[in-house]
Amino acid sequence: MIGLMITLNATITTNPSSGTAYVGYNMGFLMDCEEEDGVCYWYWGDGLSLKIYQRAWDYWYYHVYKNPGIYLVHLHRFSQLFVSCLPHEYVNVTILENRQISASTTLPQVGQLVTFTVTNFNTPKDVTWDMGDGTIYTQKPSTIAHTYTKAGSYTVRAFDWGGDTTTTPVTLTLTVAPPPRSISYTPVLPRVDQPVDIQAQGFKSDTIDWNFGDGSPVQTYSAFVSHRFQNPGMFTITAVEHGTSATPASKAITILPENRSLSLSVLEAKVDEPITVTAVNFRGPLVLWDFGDGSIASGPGAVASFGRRSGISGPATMTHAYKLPGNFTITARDENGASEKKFQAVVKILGISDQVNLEIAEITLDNGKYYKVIPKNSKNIRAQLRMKMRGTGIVSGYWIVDNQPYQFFNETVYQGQIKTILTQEIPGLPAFDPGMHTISMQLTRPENEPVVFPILRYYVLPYENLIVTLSPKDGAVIKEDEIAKFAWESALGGSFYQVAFANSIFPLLFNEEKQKWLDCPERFSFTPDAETWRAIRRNQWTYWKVRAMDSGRSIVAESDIQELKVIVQGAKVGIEKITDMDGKNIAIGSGFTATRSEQVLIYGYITYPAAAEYIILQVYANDKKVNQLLFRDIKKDKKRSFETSVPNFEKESQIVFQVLKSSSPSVIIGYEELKLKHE
Amino acid sequence: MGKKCAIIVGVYFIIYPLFSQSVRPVNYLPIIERQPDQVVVKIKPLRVRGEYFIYYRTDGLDFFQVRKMQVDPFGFVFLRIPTEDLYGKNIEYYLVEKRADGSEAASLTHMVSGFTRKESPAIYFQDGASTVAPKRKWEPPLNVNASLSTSTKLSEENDSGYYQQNYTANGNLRLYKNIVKNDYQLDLDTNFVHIDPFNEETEKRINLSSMMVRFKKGDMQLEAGDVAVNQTEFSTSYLNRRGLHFEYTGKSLYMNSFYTNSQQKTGSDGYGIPAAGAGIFGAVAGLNIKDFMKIRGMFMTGRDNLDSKTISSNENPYRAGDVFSLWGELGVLKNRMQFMGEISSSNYGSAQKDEDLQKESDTAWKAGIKYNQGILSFHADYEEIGNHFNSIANLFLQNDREGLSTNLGLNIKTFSWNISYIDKKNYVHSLVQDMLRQKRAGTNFIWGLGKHFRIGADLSRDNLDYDSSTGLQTSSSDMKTNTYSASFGYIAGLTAVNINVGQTESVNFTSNVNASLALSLRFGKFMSLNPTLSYQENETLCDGSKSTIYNLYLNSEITFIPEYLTLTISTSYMNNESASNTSSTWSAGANLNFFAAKIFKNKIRPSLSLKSMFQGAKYGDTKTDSAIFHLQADIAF
Repeated sequence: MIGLMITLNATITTNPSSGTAYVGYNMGFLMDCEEEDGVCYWYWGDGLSLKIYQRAWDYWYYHVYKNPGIYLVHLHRFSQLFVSCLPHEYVNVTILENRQISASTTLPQVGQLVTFTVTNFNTPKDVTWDMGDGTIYTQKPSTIAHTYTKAGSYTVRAFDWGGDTTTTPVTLTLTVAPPPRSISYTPVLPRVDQPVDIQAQGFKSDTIDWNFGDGSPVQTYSAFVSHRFQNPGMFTITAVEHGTSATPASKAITILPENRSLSLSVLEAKVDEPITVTAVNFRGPLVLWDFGDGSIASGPGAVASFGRRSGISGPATMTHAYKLPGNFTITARDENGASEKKFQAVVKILGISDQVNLEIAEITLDNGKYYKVIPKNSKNIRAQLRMKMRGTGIVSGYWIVDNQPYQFFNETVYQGQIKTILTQEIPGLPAFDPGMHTISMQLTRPENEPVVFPILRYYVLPYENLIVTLSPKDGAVIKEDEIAKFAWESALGGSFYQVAFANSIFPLLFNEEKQKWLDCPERFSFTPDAETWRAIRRNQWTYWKVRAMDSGRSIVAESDIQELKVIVQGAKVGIEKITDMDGKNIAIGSGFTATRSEQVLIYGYITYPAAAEYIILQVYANDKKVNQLLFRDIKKDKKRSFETSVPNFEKESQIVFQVLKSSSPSVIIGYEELKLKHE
Repeated sequence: MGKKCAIIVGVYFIIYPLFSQSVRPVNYLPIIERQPDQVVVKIKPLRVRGEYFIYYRTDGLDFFQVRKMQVDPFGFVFLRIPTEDLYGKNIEYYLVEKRADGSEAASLTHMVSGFTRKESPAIYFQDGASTVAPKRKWEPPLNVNASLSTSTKLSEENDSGYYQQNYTANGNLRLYKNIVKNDYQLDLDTNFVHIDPFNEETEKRINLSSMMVRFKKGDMQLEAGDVAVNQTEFSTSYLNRRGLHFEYTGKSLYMNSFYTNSQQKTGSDGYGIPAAGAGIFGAVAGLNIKDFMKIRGMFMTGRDNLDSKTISSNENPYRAGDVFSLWGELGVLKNRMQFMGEISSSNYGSAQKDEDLQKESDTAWKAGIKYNQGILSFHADYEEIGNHFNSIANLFLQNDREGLSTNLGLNIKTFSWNISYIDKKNYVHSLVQDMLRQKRAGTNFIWGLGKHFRIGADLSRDNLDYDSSTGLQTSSSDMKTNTYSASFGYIAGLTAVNINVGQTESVNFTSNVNASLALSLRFGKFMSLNPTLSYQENETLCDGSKSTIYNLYLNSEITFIPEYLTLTISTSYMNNESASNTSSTWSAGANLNFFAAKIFKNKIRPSLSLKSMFQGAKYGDTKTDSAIFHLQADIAF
C-alpha cells in the first residue's frame, strides 16, 4: 500500500518546467517514478509517440514540436512492474510560435519586387514558399524576392522543417495594390508614319479609349496599341478605361519630321530608257512600288513587263523603264506596303500619249448657275460640264442625280478644244418628284484625276406649268395672205414670252441652240411681221412653240409643240349670185349681204390653174359645215359651178368657202368669205 | 346603225326649234328615182296645201342643204338633186311642208344609199378656227411665287453609320415685277432659296439664287444681277456671273460696260455688286456702218481666285489680267459673205499665292470668213494665240496655239451634213512642252426623216504629232485618234427613243466602245417610263486589259388618279469591272405622291409624298446597304 502511495505521487516534469516553449524547441520530459525496467509509451500529443524500456527513473526524454499548439502529453506504462507508478500520466505543454515572415514593403504594387524573409525557422536554408498567387518556391532560403502581376490580397505561406508542407506554415497576408496608370511607348523618338507601340499600364480595364492627340478619332483598343503619327510635332497621348469617367492618363510624345523621300535619277526620260528611283531613309526592309504604268515586274537592270496593275515588293532602289509616253506617278510605300503613306514622284516620259489632263472644269445647270427652279415634268433643265483639257484622249464619267448614277458620257477631247458635255434631252433630268434634287458628276477617265465636282441643285415645283395655246389651233391650215395671230394663255411666273417656228420638230424638241426665238411684246399673243411670216414654208407643216421666261431669261413654262400649215392659194372661189329659196335675187353687199331669208341659195364657181383629180369645196356657216362638194377631173382654169344653201338664222353669219386639193393630208388651196346679216 | 339613229334623233332636236311655231309630223312616202348624176325625190300629197322643202345632206355635214321642191302637173312634189358633185355615197333627207297659215309639218328622215359608185377621197383636215387672245389680267404691284418643300425622316438604317439629317427644309420665294411701257421697260426679278441640308463648307443656307433688275429705255439697257457677258473668245466667254451691265445699241453706235463677279458663289452674292478682289470690269465701244460692218473695241481688267461654287480647277487660283481687244465684221454680197477679225493684247498673270502674281504681256489674233448661200455654208478661220496671252474673263481659253479651222456645211431641209478640217500647232512657244501639231478631218450628218425619225453619224480622224520644226517627229511618236459614232432618234408625241453607239480608238493606246439607249415613254395619262441604259468598254491596247462599266437608270411615274395620286419610281444599277477593281451600286426608290392643287382650284398647290429609298453598294467583298423613309410636304403658289 505504501508503494502504491508512492506511485500515486509520481509526476512528469518538463524542461522547461513551465511546459511552454517555441516551435522547434527540444522539450524535455522526465518521468518522476523510480520503478525500473518496464515498457512505456510517450504519446506527445502531436500524433507522434515514443516507446521506451525504462531502465533509469531519472532519464530525460525529448521531443520537438513542429507546430504551435497545446499538446496533451500522455505517458502510458504497460509493465506490471511499475507498481509504484501510475499506468497513465498526463501533462500539458504549450508550444508557442515565434517564427514569422516579413516583407520588404507592407503595401506593394503590381510589378513591384517584394523581398520576403522568414525568421526563427528551424530549417532556414530549406523553406518552401507559397506566394499565394499560384507561385510556389521549394528549397529556398529564408529570404526570397517575388513580384506580383495582379493586384489583390495574397497569403504568403512559408513551410519550415525542410519545406515540409504537411506542417503548419507561417503565413503573411499581403495586399498588392494596382500600379499607378501610365502610358509608355517605343521607340523613344519616332518619326512621322513610323509605327509607335504604345502600352497602357495600371489600367483597370483592358478596353481603353485611346486619343493619340493628332486629330485622329478616338478609338477603343486594348492596352497595347500601335499607331502611326502622320505629322511631326508634340502630341499628347491620352487613355482612359472605356466606358468610365476616370481621369485619363496622358503621355507626351514627340514625333520627328519625315525624312523619307523618293529620289529620281532623272525627271524626264525617253521610252525604254531606264530610270532609277531610290526610297531614301525608308525603314524597309522592303518597299511596295507602283510605277504608275500598270507594270507588275521590275528590278535593277530589268525592263518592266506589263499586265495587271499591282504593287511590286522590292528593295529601296529600283530601276524601271517605261514603254509609253506620258506623265507617270511613281508611288512607294514603306515597310512593304504596311505604311499607308504614299511617297510619290512624277516622271515624264517624253512622247505623245492619249492621257489628258484636266486643267479647269465648270459644271452648271443650263442657266449658267448652280441652282434652278423648274415645274414638275419640265424638260427645261440640263446640266453641263465645260472643260479645258491638255492633250487628246477620252474623257468619260457619269452624272449623279440624287446620289444615283444617272447617265454616262464618253467623249473624245482634242488638244486645244473646249469641251462641253450636256445631259441628254431624252429622257431629261428627273422631274417627276417635287422638292430638291441634286446633280454632280464623277470622272472615270482620265483615271486618278483628283477632281471633286461641286453639287448643283434643282427644285421641282409641285405642279406642271404648261402654256395653253389658243390660236391657231393645233393642225391649223392658214392662207398665206392672212397672217395668223398666235395667242395663248398666261403661264404662272411668266414675265416674257417667246415663240419659235421650225420646219422640223427636232429643233423645238431638243431646244437646239440655232433655233431662233422671237420676242412677244404683247406677251400673250404674237403677230408675225411680214419677214417672219414669209420665212414660214408654204404648203408644209411648220412647228411652233411658245415659252415663258422670267426676267433673267430662264424658261418657266412651255407649250406643247403645235403644228400649222401656211398654204398658197391656187383655187379661186367666185360667187355669182345669191337668192332666196324662191329664186329671188339678193344684192351682194361689199361688207355684208343683208336679207330676211333664213335660208339663202348661193350660186358660185371655182377655178383652179392646174389639172387635178379632185377638188373639194367645203362651205361653213359660223364654223358649222353646211356643205361639202367634190369636183372630179378638174381641168385647168375651167369653171366648175356650184349651188349651196346656207342658213341665215343668226344676226350675222360668216360663210366660209374652203377649197381642198387632196387628202392625206388635205391642203387648202382656195378660200373665200361672205358675211350675211339677218334683217 | 346606232350612229345613224343618233343622228336622226339629233336632227329632230335641232330642227324642232327651228320650226317651233307648230311642226307636226307628217308621214310621206317619198319616191326615189335614181338617174345618172341625179336623184329625184318625189312625193304625192293628197292635196298640195303649201310649199314643200327638202332638207338633205351628205356624210359629215353639220347642217342640211335646203331646196324648195317643185310641183308637177300631176300633183307630184319633187326635186332633182344633182349628185355628180356630191361628196360621199349617201344622202340623208327629210321633207318639210309649210302652209300658208304658218304651220309646218316635217317628215321622218330618210336615206338614199349609194347614189354613186365613185369613191370620195378621205379628208384629213382639221378646222383652224381662230380664238381670241386673252386680255391682260390685273396684276398686283409685286408678283410673288413661293414654294416650300419639307420632309421629316421616318426611319433610316444603314451600314455606314453616317445618317442623313432628320429633316429637310427647302423653299423658294420669287418676287418679280415687269413694267413694259411705250418708252421704257423695268424688270425686277429675284429668287431667294432656302436650302437645308446644305454643305456648310461650300454653301449657304439662304441664297439669292437669281436676280435681275433691268431698266430699258430706247436703245439703252441697264442690268444688275445675273448678267451674261459674252463678247469674243479672246475677251469674255461663258461668263455668267452676278454684276452690273450697261448696254447701248444704237444704229451706228454701240457701247457696253460691265462689272461682274469673276466667281459663281452662293449666299446673297453681293446683290449685284462684285467683290473688289473678284471683279471684272470691262467696257466696249463700237461703230455700226449700215448693216454690213461692225467694229468693236474693248478694255477689260479684273482679278480672281477661283473660289467659285461651280469650278473645279488644277490651275493657279490667283489670277489677274487686263485685255485690250479690237474686232470687227464686214459683210459683202448682201451679207452672204462675212469677214471677221480680232486682235487682242493681254497683260496677265496667275500664281498659287496672290503676292506671287507676275503679269506677262502677249497677243492673240484671229481672222475668218463665213459664207452662206442657200443650202451651202462655209467657215474658215486662222488664229494665233500667244503663250502668255490669257483673259481673266474666259476660264477656258487655250493659249499658245495657232492654226487653221474650216467647216463646210450642207443643209437641205432636214438633212444637215458637215465636213470639217483643222490644222493647228500647240505649245508653239512653250519652254516645257515640245510643239505638237494637230490635224483632224471629220464629217457628220443629221437627217430628220419625216416627223418621227432622226438619224446621225459622226466620223473623224485626228493626228497629233511633234511638229517637224522640233526635230522630234518620228513615225512612231504620233498618235492617231479615230472616232465613229451613230445615233438614231424616234419621237412621236411624248414618246421618244434615242440610241447612240460609238467607238474611239487612240491607236496604240486605248480603244473605247460606248453605247446608250434612252427612252421616254408615255402610256396615255397613266404612266411615264424613262429608262436609260449606258455601256462603256475600255481596252488598253498595250496589255489587252479591259474595263467595263454599265449603268441602268429608270425613272417612272404611274398615275392612279390623274392630277391627284401618283407613284414615282426611280432605280439605278451600275457595275464597274476592271482588272483591279470590281464594284457595283444599286438603288431603288418609290414615292407615293398626293397632289391637292385641284381641290384648291390651283390657287395654292400642296402635295404630300411618302418617300422611300434603298441603296446598296459592293466594293470587292465589302457590302453596304441603307434604307431611308421620308414624309415630304410641298406647297406652292
